[in-house]
This record gives sequence, structure tokens and C-alpha cells, in this order.
Amino acid sequence: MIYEKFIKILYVDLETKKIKIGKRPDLCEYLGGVGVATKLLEENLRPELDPYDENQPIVFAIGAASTVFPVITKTVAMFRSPLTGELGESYAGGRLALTLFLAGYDAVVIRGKAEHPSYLTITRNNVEIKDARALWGMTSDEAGRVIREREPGGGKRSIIRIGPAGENLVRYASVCVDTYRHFGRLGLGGVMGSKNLKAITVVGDRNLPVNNFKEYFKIYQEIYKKVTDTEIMSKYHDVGTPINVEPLNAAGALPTKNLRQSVFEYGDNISGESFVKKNLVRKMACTGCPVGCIHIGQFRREFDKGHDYEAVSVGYDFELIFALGSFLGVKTSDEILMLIETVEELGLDAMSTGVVLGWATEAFMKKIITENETIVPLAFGKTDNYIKAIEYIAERKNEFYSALANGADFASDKYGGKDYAMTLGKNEISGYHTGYGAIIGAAVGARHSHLCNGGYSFDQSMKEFDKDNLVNAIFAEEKERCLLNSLVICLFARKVYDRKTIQAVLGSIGQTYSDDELTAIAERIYKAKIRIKKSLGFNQMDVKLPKRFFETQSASGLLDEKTAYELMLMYNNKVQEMMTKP
Amino acid sequence: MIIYIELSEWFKRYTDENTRFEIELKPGITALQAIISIGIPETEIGLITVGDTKVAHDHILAHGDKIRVYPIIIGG
Repeated sequence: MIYEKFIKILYVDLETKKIKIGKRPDLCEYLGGVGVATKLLEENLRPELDPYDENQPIVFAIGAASTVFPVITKTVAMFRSPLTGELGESYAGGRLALTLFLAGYDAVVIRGKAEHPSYLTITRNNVEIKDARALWGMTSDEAGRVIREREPGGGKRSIIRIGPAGENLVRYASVCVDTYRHFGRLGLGGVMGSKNLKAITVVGDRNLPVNNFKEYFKIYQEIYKKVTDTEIMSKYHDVGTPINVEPLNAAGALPTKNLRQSVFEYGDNISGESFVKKNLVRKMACTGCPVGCIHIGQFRREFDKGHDYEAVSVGYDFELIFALGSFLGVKTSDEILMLIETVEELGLDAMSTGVVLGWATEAFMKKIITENETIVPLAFGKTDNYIKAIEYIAERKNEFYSALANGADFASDKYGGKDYAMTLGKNEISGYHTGYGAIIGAAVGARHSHLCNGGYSFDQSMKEFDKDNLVNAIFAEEKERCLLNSLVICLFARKVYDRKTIQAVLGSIGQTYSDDELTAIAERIYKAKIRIKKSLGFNQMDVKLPKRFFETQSASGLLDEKTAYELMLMYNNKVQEMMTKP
Repeated sequence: MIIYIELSEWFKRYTDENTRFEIELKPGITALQAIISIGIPETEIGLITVGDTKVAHDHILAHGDKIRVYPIIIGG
């Protein structure tokens, strides 16, 4: 906690209804955010139990400088992922970090299972577990609306909630944060569902005077100017991440139709510019961010016969356009927004949902599954049937959709088609078929996300492919991101927050660290993550790379399977070497 | 030699809204140099194609080449 020499933790047991507050000076050596959350997960995790066992913890944490500086806006959640069975780590913006900060908590640890559907309210002076039986079954949007009306604190409040997918324990169910942000990946929504926890509200209303305002304001202004007056962040505000559709498609790096192609013939229809021209109606920002990268698009929906229409607004970004657009052969921005709206309402991770459906569509085409399983015929570009299929996943409609609800890796184990089930470490892929960096980055990443180390970006920035350079770059970035995520900086601003800036930020709030000390913190966090993964039975060399990666041209040409495995081994050796060091 | 450059919409902010250029350059110039010469910052330049082929930034251009330029890929 800022200006304090300890980390303040709120412990909530949903079963016994016991609430405890802990102050832990020892956790300061993990700085905050992902560092503290990793350590708390390690302490509270029960590796021998299922991810949905009520004794498994959920940990939320903010960082040492959360929301006090521009673009330090995120909250990290850690848990045992029901999708991968190993490290669950997910980030969300919105107002959650600010409200936790102003409620006075660095971290929250939730354990146990409520006896009936409940929601948790957290304020500075009070924590309550309230009845949510009337909310059970509601969409994310409906639940948010009811809680907004029922609970005080508007303007200083964050509401996070799950939809029906989380209640039905879909293994990639998401958690909606303040309507437009999410803990999207790896199934936190399912873990909340397994605890009968429909929602959490946090109200932060304390006032915290800034010590040494002059120094603080000087650093703040420098960062603010860098963020707003230079080109570093301008694309994020302008077209937003959907700007990537055009260059990735031109480069032959846009996974299309379950990565049967890497160029989408309708790419121009779903480019960032197309969304801007046809759908963009508003931009928003997380609290504490001057960028405003959240792009809200609108589409028209007929809600009744007789020309009765409504305008539906929904957030969009690149990964969603990839997963529910090109990956499913969906040709228009309106249709993509309709699919996003469906996953939003039901509370699913858009990326996993799209990639799972890509596998299902190809499996259907190859006749390893039939309409007996799929109920509706699945075909690339057929949006109406995809909407139905998404609803079936969320409700686990039949045995087949229940398998899909467990992820593409599980479904392909059961039905076949492993070679084109596009997962890495059991997590569905992201939208970059750029080269070895993208594949290996996610395969070795602690949570198998493209955000672990930005492997895809090295495919772009490295002039020539060199195995050692690539592995070293991914390893260095994975570690550095442990530091960035301990603060918890939005990774879009990672170029703003270089080491010097991080030192200045921490120094201005009374925390002085040398460069070496920050490196040591980053490594300490990474080692803790590796320990957790090992305790959960993870072995890097067990990760299988789907053959489809090596059958479809990437932006770096046709990739060689043997080389990819060699890179993974090289990375694994580096990790083992790190773990043997004191 | 004459080179034709077509820019992705993003770059309009640097070129008074123009996206198509026909420019005369000395032989031996690279794709990157040609694009910088019309006012695009180097840090913004991502993928470059000549015709339908992806080329390196230091690709030497030939008379009549048609270049297309895309912004750098962004993300977390």
C-alpha cells in the first residue's frame, strides 16, 4: 500500500462467512500486483484439488502505484485455471483498481463456497456476503443493472459479475468488469460460479493526500505528456488495436477459418477503419487512463417483427475481431459485433469461444461430428448458427456442447481433430500467425497468453530469425512483464514505463529501488510462478503444438515443426537454469 | 526513377490526408528511405510490400515499383 511498509489483504471465506484483514510486511519484496498475487496463490492453492473445488482460492491484487499514475489501471486475478488446470492469471481495467485502492486493500483472497448464490460487497469499513438467488441466471448486463440500483456508491464503485456461462462452469467463462472490461481469459468466471459467487462490488471512498506533491506531480506530468503528446499511445486511442487487422492480413498473419488460411478475403470489411466508418460511436477509458482505448461500436438489432429495432452498443478490439471474425470467416463488422454481444451477455471469453467454434466448424466439415452433436450446421461465415452455438456452449446444451464448454483441447481429445484444435498449453490461441515468436511465446508463457511476453512482436521487430536471439528476447520480456504487472501497468503503455520511469514513479511515492533490485523482484515473481506450475504438474515439454501451425503459411513463411520444438526446449533449459540459481 | 507509394489510411495524419504518391527518386534508394521521404516517421512503418511481395525495409527499389505501406502492429 502506498506510503505503508506492508501489504494489506482482505481475506473472505464464503462458507464460514469469516472476514479477516492481514498486514504482511514480508510481501513487500514482491512489490504488489502479480507479485503479491502469485505469492498469495502459492500460499493458498491446493494443488491436489480440482480447480473448481471450493477450497481453491481466488486472489485479486493491485500494485504499488495503482491508479496514482497514468495508465496504471489494472487489477490482476490469480487462481487455478479450470481451462488449463494450471496457472490462472488474468487482468482487467475499469474502475476496480481505483476502488480497491480507495477502499484500502492491496489484495483480496476469496475462499470457500457460499451456501447459495451470493454477491460480495466490499467497502472501506464493511464487507458483506449478500443473497444473489434472484440474480442467478441473469446475464452479465442484467446482473450489473440490478446491483447498480440496489447498492450505494455510484461513481466510486466497481461491479464485477459473471453471466450464465460462469454459473454453468464453462471453463473459459469470463468476468465482466464495469460493463466494458473483463477478466477474460482462463476461466475466472467458472471459478466464481463454482463458489456460488455471482458478483463483487467494491466501493472506494477514502481520501489519500499525496506526500511530496511537488515531486509526485513532476513525474506524473512527464508521464502524462509522454502518453498524450507523443505518438507512443496515439494508435490505441485513434483506431485502437483493430488497426492490426489490415497489416496482419496483408502480411499473411491473420488466422482465418481455423487457421486454414492466414489471409482473409473479406479482411477489408472487418478492418479497424471499417469499424470506425460503420460502427464506432464512443471511446472510453479505464479510471486513471488518459488514453481512452476502449472502442464502442453499435449495430442495429431487430427485437420484434414489424420493423422494431434497437441500437446495441458493444466494445470491440483486435482479438475479438480475430476470434469471432476472421477465425470464423465472419464477413462484416455488424455480424462480429452481434457475436461479441452474445459472448458478453452470456459471460464467455471471446477468444476461447471463437477458437473453440473454429475447431468445431472444421470438425463438422470433416464429418467427425454431425448435426446430431451440433444441433445446427456449423459453417464458416454463418453467424446465426454461431450465435445459437454460443448459447448452447453457455448452457452446456448436450454432451457435445458440454465438451466445447471445456475448451478445444478437451473437445479434440474426445472427438479427434487434435491437429487443428488451436490451443497452446490448452489455452486457445491469439490472432497472430506471425512466426515462431507468436507460437513459442504463448507455448512457454506462464499462462500461455500472447500477453505473457509479446512473442508475436519479436516476429515483427527482429530483422533476421535467430534461435538464440528469439529465445533470449522472449525470456527477458517474460521476466520484465512480471515487474510491469506487479505495478499493475496496462501493457499497452509498456514502452512508456521503462526502468528509469518505474524507478522515478516508485521513488516519488517513497519507494526507492535500484535497477538490480527491480530485476531481482521480477525474477522472484517469475520463479514463484514456475513453482506453482510445477506443483500443478506442468511440464513444458509436454506441450504439443498443433500441426496446423506448420501447414498454413505465416508472415515468416511456412514454419518448421522441429524448429519450433527446439525453441521450446531452449526456452525450457533457460527456465531450469534460472530455477537452480538461488 | 519513378516510385509509386500507397499508404494505409492511418498514415494520412502525416501527409495532409494523401494516401497515394508518385515520386521521383535517385536509383539505389531503399523502400524505407522512400517512405520516410514523404514524411512518414520511421517508427511508424511496419510491413512493406512491393507488388504483392513482402519486402525488407532495406529492399532496394527499382523504377516503377509500387509500394504499399502498413502501420506497425500494436498490442500488449
